[in-house]
Amino acid sequence: MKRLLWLLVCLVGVPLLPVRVMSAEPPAAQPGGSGCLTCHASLEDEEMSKAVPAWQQSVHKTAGIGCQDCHGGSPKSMVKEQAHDPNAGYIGIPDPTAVPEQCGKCHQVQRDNYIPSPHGTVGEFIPNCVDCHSDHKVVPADVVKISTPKRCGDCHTDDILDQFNGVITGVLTPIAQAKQAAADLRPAGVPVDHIDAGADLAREMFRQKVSHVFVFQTIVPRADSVKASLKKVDTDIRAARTEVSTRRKFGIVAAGFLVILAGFIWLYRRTLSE
Amino acid sequence: MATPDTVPQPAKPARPKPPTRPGGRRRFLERCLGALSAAGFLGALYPITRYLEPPPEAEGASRVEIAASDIPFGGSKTVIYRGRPAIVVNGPNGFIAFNAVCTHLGCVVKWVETGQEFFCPCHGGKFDQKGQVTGGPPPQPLVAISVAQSGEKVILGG
Amino acid sequence: MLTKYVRGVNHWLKDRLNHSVSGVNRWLEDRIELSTLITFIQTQLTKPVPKHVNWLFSFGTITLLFFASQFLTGLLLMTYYKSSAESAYDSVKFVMEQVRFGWLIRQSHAYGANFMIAFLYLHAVRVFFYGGYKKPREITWLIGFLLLGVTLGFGFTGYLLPWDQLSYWATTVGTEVAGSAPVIGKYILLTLRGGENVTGMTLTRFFAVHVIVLPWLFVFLVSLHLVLIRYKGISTLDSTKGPEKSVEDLKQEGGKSFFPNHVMKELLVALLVFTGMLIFIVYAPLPLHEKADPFNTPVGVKPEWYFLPMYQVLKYFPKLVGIIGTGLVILGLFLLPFLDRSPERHPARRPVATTLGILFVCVAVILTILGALAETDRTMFGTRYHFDTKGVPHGIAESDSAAAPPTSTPPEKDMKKE
Repeated sequence: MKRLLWLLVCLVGVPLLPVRVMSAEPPAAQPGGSGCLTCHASLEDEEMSKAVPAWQQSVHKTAGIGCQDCHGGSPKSMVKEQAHDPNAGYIGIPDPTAVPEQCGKCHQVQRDNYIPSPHGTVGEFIPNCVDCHSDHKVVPADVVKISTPKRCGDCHTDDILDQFNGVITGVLTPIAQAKQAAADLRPAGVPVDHIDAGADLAREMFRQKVSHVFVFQTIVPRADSVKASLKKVDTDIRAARTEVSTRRKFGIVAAGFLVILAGFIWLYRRTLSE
Repeated sequence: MATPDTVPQPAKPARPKPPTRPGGRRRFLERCLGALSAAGFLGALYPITRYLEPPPEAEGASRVEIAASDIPFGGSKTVIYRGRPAIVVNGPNGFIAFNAVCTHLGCVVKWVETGQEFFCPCHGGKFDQKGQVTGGPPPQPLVAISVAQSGEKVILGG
Repeated sequence: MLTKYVRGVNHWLKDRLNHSVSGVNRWLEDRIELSTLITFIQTQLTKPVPKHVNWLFSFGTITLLFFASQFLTGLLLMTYYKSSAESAYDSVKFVMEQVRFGWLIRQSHAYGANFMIAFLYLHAVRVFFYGGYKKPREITWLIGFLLLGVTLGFGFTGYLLPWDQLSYWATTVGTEVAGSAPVIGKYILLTLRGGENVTGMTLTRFFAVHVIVLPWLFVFLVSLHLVLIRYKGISTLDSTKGPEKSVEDLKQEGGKSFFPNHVMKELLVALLVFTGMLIFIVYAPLPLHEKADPFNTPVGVKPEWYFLPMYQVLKYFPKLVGIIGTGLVILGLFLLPFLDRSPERHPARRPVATTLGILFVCVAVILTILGALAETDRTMFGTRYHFDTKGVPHGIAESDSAAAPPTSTPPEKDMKKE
């Protein structure tokens, strides 16, 4: 319908980009509580206010995880002393050694992999969750980005980092490609739910067996088994693509036939005027 | 065509061209159009007939488990097996199971405990515990389904 | 010798065949006066159409062909469709994904609706500019206008049936607009929806209207429309002051017979239009969106393109003014043959009507474009704009769109919660 409209618009000669309905904004409340956000957003000291915009972009806002879930206190209160009352559970900046358990309240799989891992056992959690995922913005850890010598190179050689990157991206890239293929094929009207589900399953396997383990020898075979599970997804993607091109061929043949029929009618009409 | 005077006359061969040419070409094109239209019609019919075929569908489960406690001794239970109704009876010789579709006209048979037989309510067909016809119009015995008991479970097929 | 024999057999067979056909003819003649019928049909088919009739005059027939196509594909869709809020979406998805050629049938129906309405609009515009609605064809116009209403009703009711997010919310908005009519608005709203909200109740009544009420209405009205067209013929471009041209006049002026000349022209255009639709179907299939979620309104909900001008114009006026104003314009168009008293048909000889007509079409197109742009973000000439509900662009700072963190790993947002 939008495309037809587009055709209409093209006909009257107005260049116009295809209509794109914006994705729906999730109906997130303000879980941080008006108190924290109102005061901290307006504080002069940037160290004290920068958390607000960072959190507002974060997946935690969407998921309804607010300030008090990590910092404690009374988020609804507009009085500084009440909001920051230790009796209300206020802890301020969490102790770095407590961070993995703090995040692990929800991210259990990650915690369970991380705590016995080399990063969890060397010293007191080096690096910990927020070192790689940032504190308030809560971003996915980009392996390529954080594994630069600047961040990881203090302890690891470039070779090790490259190898590690290779394993991680070797799994995540095909998963992302499968998700993308499903998303691209969906509007074409071919069944893609099983492709999407297969990719999700692979991602979940990655999350449980590969991510946050940090032991090279352990994750290599696991990563391979995740990749093996994507084989069927790949076959399905190829089948779906074939289906789309079959439909197109069918359409072209049928359209060609109609045009030929129209051509004959045209010829026939010409004989009428003779 | 009964009224030739109202039929549009083919072009008059009054022009210097060969007299048969326009009419001949028109007739040729008419035939082509007819043939193409027929082909198009048949071509359009193909997707429609395919569309109306039963869509590919997973066959019903070929292995069905029922809790043995669901069927009291002497009683019966009708379940779906391979997409069709099947009747399981807890009889004197242990569990027996048959395809419950009567071989006469497709009604679903019932287990009659008092008569120890299967009875079809549509036309009074009767089958014994081996599925053999003992009365009424059914032409063939009921189709038996393999049944096994494993602990608290009765398993059809598999 | 063999050829001779074959020819002989052939001759005998033909003779038998002719004999039996004439036998059938005689049998039918005795019962339904076949020859009278044939004469009638032939008179109709050979009636000349005026000389000025060109390919623009095929739009009506194309609309009718689309109706036939919709009837067929609709019937086929009904064999799998389940009209309840719980299963409607899944049944449409099933047709599109599991049933052989289901995609073709469903896409033909969905695109066919759009094409049918587009050609109906074009047909109405053509009739306007050629003055076809003038004496003695006023009733044909009135019935044609009702047919337009029925067709838009088809579009409105049919759009809800897949029960996806867009159709659900477009129906919510559409019924809301209908419900803002003065006095009877609330009653209309509740009757359309079958309750306060769009629910399964709405779906079943829309379904009933879509597959029973409207098709019968359409067939009834279109029969009248066609009979009137055959009865009065296609109008010439002459003034209505003079007498209507007779068949002989038209023939003398060089008017060609309806069949095969005009019919073949219509068929030619129709085939090309259907070819275009096929290309659209395979290269730009209409997607089935997420299943309807009554608790989650997507951003930028709007009705289908054929309602957009009316929907958009309501945004610029206070609610009641807009509704009454639009209603008056529609009423005016309905009664056009009685409002436009000029006897001239040729567009050049009625400059005021022609100018107004061009203006009307331009305004409708502009409103449609504004309606399409409204509530979307898009980049034009290198700048990102947000178009508000009235279609006015506002520049957006680049930082807004660049704010999302660049990620190469999938965001891990599904959290395990206790």
